[in-house]
Amino acid sequence: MTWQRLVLPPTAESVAAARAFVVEVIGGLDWIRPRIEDLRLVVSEVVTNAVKAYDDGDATGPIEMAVQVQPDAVEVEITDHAGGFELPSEPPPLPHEGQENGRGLALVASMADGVSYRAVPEGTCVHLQWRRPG
Amino acid sequence: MWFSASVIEGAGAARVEVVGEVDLATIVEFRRAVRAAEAAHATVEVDLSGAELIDSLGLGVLVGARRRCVERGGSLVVVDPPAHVVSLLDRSGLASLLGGPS
Repeated sequence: MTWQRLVLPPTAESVAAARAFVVEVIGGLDWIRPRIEDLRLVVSEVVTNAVKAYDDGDATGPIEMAVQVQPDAVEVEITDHAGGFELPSEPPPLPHEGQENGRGLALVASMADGVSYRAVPEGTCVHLQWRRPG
Repeated sequence: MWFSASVIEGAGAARVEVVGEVDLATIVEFRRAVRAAEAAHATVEVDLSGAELIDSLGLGVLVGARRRCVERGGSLVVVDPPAHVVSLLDRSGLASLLGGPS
């Protein structure tokens, strides 16, 4: 199994490019098809966070995306080089329904089978996993 | 990527028709359309039948717009949501807030 990789600039347009890439790599898998909309949304939320992480700094390094198909799982890694942020230790709760913001990470946690964060030089890597049922 | 958010002013409500994907790249256009609908009418319908994706930023726009509509005695509901939007509203805890009569 090998990782398929894509390098993206930290721009708003990269969110759609990331979605297209992940669908291209894994779209042919029968078992993932019922969850493809979840996967597209999760990738959107994580790449959006990555792009926004560059807002307040001078960092210009790219966002790196890697997708790997295993016999029993799909793995996606999204790495920014925006300077790093405080790693969430547990999934944040969904905000009150009247709140406008703060749903992204909670949705990521509920729509992926596994989510983990790790610090990398000058940034953060988000590892996502979807497991084959049965 | 094609995206449009059109505002149609009716007698009883203003309707926003969304085609394409609501994400970081299109959120400004989406927000502008929702604001225009709010300005036209306190009752807003957001037709998401053509939405291929709506992210948490888009949901936030709808939640904020709904609050302002309700404050003016109106409402905001999502109409014709495709299955993936129904599922998203459910999992976001927004199904009853933004879901209209089905």
